[in-house]
This record gives sequence, structure tokens and C-alpha cells, in this order.
Amino acid sequence: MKIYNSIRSGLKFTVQKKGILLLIYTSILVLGIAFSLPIFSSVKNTAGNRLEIQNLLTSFDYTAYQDFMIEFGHIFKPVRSQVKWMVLVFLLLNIFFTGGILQLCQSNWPATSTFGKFMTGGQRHFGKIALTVFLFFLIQGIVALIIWVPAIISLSGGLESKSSEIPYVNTIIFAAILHIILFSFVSMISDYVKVGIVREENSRYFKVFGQQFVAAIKNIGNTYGLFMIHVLLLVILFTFYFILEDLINNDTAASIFLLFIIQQIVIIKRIGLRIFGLSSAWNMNQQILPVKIDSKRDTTSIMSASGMINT
Amino acid sequence: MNNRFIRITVSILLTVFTHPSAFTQPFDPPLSDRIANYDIKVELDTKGKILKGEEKLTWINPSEDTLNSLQFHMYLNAFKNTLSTFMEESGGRVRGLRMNEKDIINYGWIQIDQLTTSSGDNLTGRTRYISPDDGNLQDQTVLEIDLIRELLPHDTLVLNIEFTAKLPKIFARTGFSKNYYLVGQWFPKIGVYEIPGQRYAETGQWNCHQFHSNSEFYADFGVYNVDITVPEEYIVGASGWLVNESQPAGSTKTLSYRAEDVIDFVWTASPDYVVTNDEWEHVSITLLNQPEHAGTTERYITSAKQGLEYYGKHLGKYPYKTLTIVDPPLHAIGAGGMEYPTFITLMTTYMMPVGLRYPEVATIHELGHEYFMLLLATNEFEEPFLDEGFNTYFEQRAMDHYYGKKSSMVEIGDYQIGDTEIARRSFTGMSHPKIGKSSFTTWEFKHGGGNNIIFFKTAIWLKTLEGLVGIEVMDEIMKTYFDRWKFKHPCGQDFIDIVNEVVPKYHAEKLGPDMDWFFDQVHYGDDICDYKLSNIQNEEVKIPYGILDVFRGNQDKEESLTEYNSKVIVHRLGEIKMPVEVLVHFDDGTEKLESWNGKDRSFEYIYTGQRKVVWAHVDPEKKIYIDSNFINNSRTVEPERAVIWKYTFKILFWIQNIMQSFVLFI
Repeated sequence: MKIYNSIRSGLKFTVQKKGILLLIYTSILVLGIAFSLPIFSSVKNTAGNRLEIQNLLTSFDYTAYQDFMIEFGHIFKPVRSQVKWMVLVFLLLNIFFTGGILQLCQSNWPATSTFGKFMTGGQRHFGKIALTVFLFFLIQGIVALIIWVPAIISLSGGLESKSSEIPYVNTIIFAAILHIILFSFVSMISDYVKVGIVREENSRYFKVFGQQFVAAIKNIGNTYGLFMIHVLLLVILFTFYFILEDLINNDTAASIFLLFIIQQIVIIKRIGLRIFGLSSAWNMNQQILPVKIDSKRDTTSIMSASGMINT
Repeated sequence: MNNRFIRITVSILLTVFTHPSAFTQPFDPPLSDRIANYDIKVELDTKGKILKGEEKLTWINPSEDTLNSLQFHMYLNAFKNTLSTFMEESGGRVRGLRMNEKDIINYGWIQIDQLTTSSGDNLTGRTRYISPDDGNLQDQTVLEIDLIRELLPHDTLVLNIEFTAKLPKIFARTGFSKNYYLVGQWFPKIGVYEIPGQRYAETGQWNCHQFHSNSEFYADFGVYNVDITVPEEYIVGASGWLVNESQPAGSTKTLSYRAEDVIDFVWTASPDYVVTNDEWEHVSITLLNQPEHAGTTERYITSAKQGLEYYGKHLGKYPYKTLTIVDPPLHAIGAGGMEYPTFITLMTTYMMPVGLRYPEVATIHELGHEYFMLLLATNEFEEPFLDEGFNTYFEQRAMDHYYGKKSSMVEIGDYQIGDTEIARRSFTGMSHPKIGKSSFTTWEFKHGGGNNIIFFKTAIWLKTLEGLVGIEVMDEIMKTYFDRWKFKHPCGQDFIDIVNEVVPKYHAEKLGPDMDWFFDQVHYGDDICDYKLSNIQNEEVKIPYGILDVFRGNQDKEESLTEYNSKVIVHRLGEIKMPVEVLVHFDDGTEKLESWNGKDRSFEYIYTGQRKVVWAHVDPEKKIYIDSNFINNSRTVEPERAVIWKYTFKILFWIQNIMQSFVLFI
């Protein structure tokens, strides 16, 4: 029932916040165009009038691709150096957006407009969410080390140490599956910590961190279950996309443009899924942690600030 | 009845009723001159990795020369220490595998314990190691034996050799790994005495090179009868066919094999093999597979049959009655990817994806070596291009034929790569394609690049030859070469002579009285080939006005008929000169195929008329496959944007997804 409530709440929230979705999409589109448009120009000016390139229109052509890279591969060098800046800008933007989305989940936060609330929230919670991102990046790294270091040690000794390659393959498959499960679990926890930061913004950071961590684990069926539904929706989205991509020949101007539209719809849906993910996590958090953490503060003002009651 | 009797009976019955090669009949008449014939008894000591052997060599002096000495290959001594020529040249690393030099068990050697002739001469002690290639006194891979009695022309000498060999740890084709054995180049093997006129010999001479890191082997044809004694739990495979299996006293068994008209004999033993038998026309196929590679069994068998079919059709019938395919375990992967008479070793891994055609390529490639060089018996030391390059060319033809030109190597979703495409890229993508010539000997590639030049450059210039002369003429060349020279040790010039014999019959006008100009450039030279469609110009011819002394017929007409002077300019950027075609496409849909001898640095075609040139393409059918850059072979007047938009949108989409993925997981 909790999962159902959260899904309903998340869907309703996402549908209502189309403007914010558009804002986020525009930022991603601008950054993406900033990266890909120079590529278009460079390729058009260099190889645009070569017939061999046309071999890439209907399908991948290894010879055309390799010869192209030999002659024109240098045009990608400046683009590659842009990538790290683009990643940094996007990371910072998304920290901001996450704070804004979560602020919008606080239904009674005083603000004149949705956009104003979003911008205020983004700016207000930027520091703590950035800290959360950094901490969970470290946690993910530790998880990876905990899984892969023993796996690699168990496979050490070279080819001669095993009678066949089956132990290598099985170890890698097992470690990969375990990593995917733990990775997704940690990602789920990070969403609840971010929710808690905004809900309990006046509480101490690490206290919120710990309480959210414990609450998420205590209600793992609901929290992880909801997260996996989010992941499942993402998988379904991409499955549909790949089916459509296969069906569309993508070798005429019309079909290329059609696929572009579909691709952008997929991106919009992905952003929508993210908003859905955060807002449904917010609702789930309210269900599993209805009582405010910091009991030193006035209960009414706390409940009001958390959006649980109207005052 | 005791168990041993039952085991022997069952073994014999199984051999008789399930292994048709037991019924294989000798070749009559012999296929080759059978100069070097071996009768060997060998026992494998699995504890010490030792072979104890008794060899009877019956050797015919093929020349008009009286010989006072013999030269033998003692290949296993290449692994005796790090001072051998092989180890110094390779640095202890072959095909990506490194020998653990610190562990003494990993080394190998061979020695002659006793050497006598059938007439009673004791030649033990009348031996010395020589280093005819590099003077390396530490190298013991060539043994010279002084005879007591001269060997007269065409006389037969019978030598009785008792030898001991220690197998090395497998990293370079032969040896042991745990309880797995691939026993190649394991016995004292007489070199080839070339007679005047054979290959490049002007006088009679021993052609017996040291074992180099990049070289393989060279030997005469003969008959092998080999008795192999191994522990009874071992499954054995070998060249030729199984004649008999017996179980003398103890826990060992002895398998007797015979191989006729072959240049070598190899065998393998492992208790873990899974045996699969199959047939293709007259050939019994035996696959010795690893249990974990069971998923590749069908792929190996299918591609072996494809290879037999393709080579049979385009070169000549596979003459032998048996083919043994061996799949080594991962810890002995150094033994994989090798060819021996009627015996090939392959490589695969557990869970090899179907779209990654590595098992198929390996099978067809190693099977191709039965032709290049085991049946032709070219000298792999001096002219490695004749086996590796020729074989790679044919392997690509077969793979492209059965699996598609664009997908013969990789076919995973939309991602496809052809075998021939990879070969071309392997050569044209070299950072230093001029590092060597395909005419080099194996030891001339001192600083790398040998594999790319020998395998891939040769294959690509053969494909270019095919493009110039056409596939039918190419098949005639290859069939003539194979038919005329099988069992006879041809050299590179013999192949060139056949090309010069066949091609002018069909293409003298276009290609000249011979093809020496072709081989001088691609085989004996190291230059690059690159043609470029440099420019297209369409200049509108201005309609003259004013008082004209010459009547212009269209002046009175109302509609103006625009005329153009169009020019198509082609460049030769590389040093190699090849006759090329240039296809010119006009805006009225017509096309014109021009021919250019490809010699000048720059050439132009001029067209005058009411049509404009829209695009032009040098070598539109990619006949000159050795061209290092196909991208610059064409040009359009108006750039085509569709494909660029397609990939730009794709890049944009995946960049956006990557950015979003950060959000999900952090």
C-alpha cells in the first residue's frame, strides 16, 4: 500500500510540474548541443562531401568508420577536452535541480511561484546535497573495492593457476551481479538522505544521514521496492526505444528527424522519471518517517515545515 | 576376464568400428618424393615431462652431390636457456605469452644419446651445433653431423637415433601445461638439402635455419610411423591415422600412427579431452575439445567442413583422409592457433558469443595452412608470406563467402566487421607501414611489424591482384600454383612466374606483358598506395553577346541552353602506381566510367556539355584494396548532410543519457 501511495503521489507531482521538467530538459539539451554541434560542423566541413561516408547511413560500416578516423580523427580532440567541463557543469546543475525538486515536494513552503520555490530550494540546499553526492560517491567507490578486490585476488595467479577459464567467468559474473545490487541499493539510500536533508533542513546533517539510512533499511521492502519500480520503468522506456529504433530505417531525412524526436521524448521521459523518483521517495519517506527527528523544536512548526499539516 | 583385457578389447573394437581412419589405405602412388621418412617410438614420462625416443630416419640424398655431413633441426633447444636465438629475439614472449624464466621446469631441450647408421657406423660424438644465421654460439637448434662414409647422389641413408627430450612449459606452441601435452617439433629432424634450381639454390646446399622467434618450419615430405606410449588414462590425437592401439604391461598404452606424404608429425595427449567424430566427403574429422568449450563443438565442425569445401573448390582437393582438430585449455593457450599435417590447434573461450566468429576464423585459417604451407611446403623461415599471407587471403575469402563481407568476423546487433576489412585495417592502420616488406625473411623484422606485413599486407596485395585481374583469373592463378607446386617446395618467384604466365592471357592490353611492375611495388617495395578524388569543378560557359562572326545555332531560341565545362581532378598521393577506374556521375543521371593508368601525380577529365558533374569516385569497386584511404577516393559537389545529422543526433542522445545516468546513481 505504501508503494502504491508513493507511486500515485509521484505521478501526480510529475504531471503537475511540467514547467520544471521543461527547464531541466532545456539545460540538458543545451549542454548536449554544445558538445555535439561542433562535431557536426567539423564533420560537415571535412568529410561531408565524401561518398564513403554514405556507407554509414544504413548501418555501421567498419571500413568507412576506420578510414574516417584515420583521416579526420583529430577533429575530435578538442571535443574530448570539453567533456570534463561539461560533466562538471551538469553535475553542479543537477545538484541544484535536485534541491529544487525536493523543495517543491514541500507543499507548504512559502513562495510566490513554483519556479521561485524551485530556484530557492535549489540554492538553499545546494551545499548539503553536494556534500551528500560527494559522500555517496565515496561510498560507491568503497562498495566497488569491497566487491572487486577480493574477486581479483581470488583470480590472481595467472592463467596457469586454474584448470579452465570457468572460475574467471563465474567470479566476474557473480561480482558484477552483486555490484549492481549493492550499487542500486546505495543509490536508493542516497535519494532518501537527500529527501531527509530537505525535510529536516534545520537538523544536523549527519543525524539526518544516519536516521534516513536506518529508516530506509528498516523499510527495505518498501524503499528498495519503490526504487526498483523506478529502474523497471527506465528499462521499459529503453526497451520501447530500441524496438522503435529497429523498426525505423533511419536512412532518410524524414526518418532521421523522426528518430530524433523519439530520442528527445525518451530524454524528457527520463527526466520525468527522475522527478517521479524523487517525489515518490519523498512520499515514501513521509510514510515511513512520519515523526520529525529533532524533538527539541516545536512539533507544530516542524510538522508545518515538513508539509504534513497546513497552518 | 580381467579389466585390462576388457579395456583392450573395447579399445580395439571402438577403434575399428568408430574411427574410420583405421581403415585408411596408403597412397598409391605416393603423393610426394618421400625424401625423409621416420619410424619413431616414443614414451612420455608425465612426471619429468620427458620424452624417450628411438628414431629410425630413412633419408634419400636428392641431389647429384656427394655428401659428407648432414644438418638437423633440434628445435626444442630453442627453449634450453635464455641465450638461444629464439629467446633472445623474442625476449621470452611469443604471441602475447611470456615464459616464466625463473622456473627451471619451464625450459626444454633435446639431445641425441646415440647415433648410428644401419651399416654400423657410430656417429655419436661426430656432432656439433652450428649457427648459420647469426653466429650465436649459444644457439643449439641446428646440429651438424659428420658422416664416416660419404653419401653418394640419390643414395639412401638409414640413421638410428636414440634421443631424449624435455618438453618446455607451453608458451610457444609446444610442450606441457599441467597434465596437457602438445608435442610438436619434438624429434631430431633432418633439414632440407636443396638441389640447384630448387627455390633460389644455384648449387646444392643445406637449407637448415636456426629457430627464430618469428619463424616457423621447413622440411621434406616423407612417411611417418610413430608409436606413442602414454599413461592409459590419456586420450591421444596425432597427425595421420591411428593404425593400432595396444596395452603392454603396466599402466600405459601404446598408439601407433601413420602419416604419409607429410612434412612433420605432431601429437597431443590429455586425460580431459572430449572426443567428437564427424565426416566430410572422404575426410574423417576428429575434434579433441575441452569440456568447458563444448558450446563451440558445432562451430568448429561446421567451419572445418566449410574450409574443406572452399579450399577444395578454389585450390584443390584435400588429399588426406584425416583431420584432427585440437582445442587446448586456457592454461595451454600457447599451443593454440597452429598447423601441422592433418592436425590443427585452435583457440576459444568458455561462453564465446556466436557473433564473435573467432572459432570459425581460427578453424578456417589453420585448415588453410594444410595448403599454405603443409602441402606446398614453402620455406617458412625465408618466405613467410607464402604461407601466412596467402593463407590469410584465402581465409578471408572463405569467411566472407560463408558469413558475409561486412559481418564475417563480428556480428553483434548492428555492429558488424568483415574479416577482410580487419586485415586491411591491420595494415593501413599501422603507425609505420614501411617498416618492412612482405618479401622479408622472418629475422629481418628486427623492430616489429612482422605480423602485420607478412599476414595482412600480403593478403591485401593478393586481394588487390584479384581486383585487377578478376576473381576467375585469380582462381586460375591459385589453382595452377597449387596444382603445379604441391609437394614440391615452391618459392615466391615460382608464384610470380605463374601470375606472369596466366594474367597476360587475359589482360595483356590493360596490365602489360607481365606483372613484375605489380610485385616490385607491393611485394619487393614498401611504398604506400593512396589515390584521391581531389576536386570537381563545374564552370558555366558564358553565352557570348554582341556581334558574333560565328553563328551560334541557339541564339534565336528563347530558352537558354546553359553549358558547362566540368573538370574532375584525381591525384596520386602515394608512391604505388596502379591502373584505376574513375566513375563520374552527372546531374542528368548518366555516368561515365573512365580508366586511368594511375601513373601521373595528377590527372584530369574534362567534360563539356549541358550536364554538370555531381560526384566522382576513384576506384568505386575498391579493386585497389591496398589503397590506404578510401575516404578521399570520392567527392560530391553538394555535401550530403543526412548521415552527419543521423550520427550527430545519436551522439546528442547518448550524451544526454550519460548526463542523466549521473543523476540516477549519485
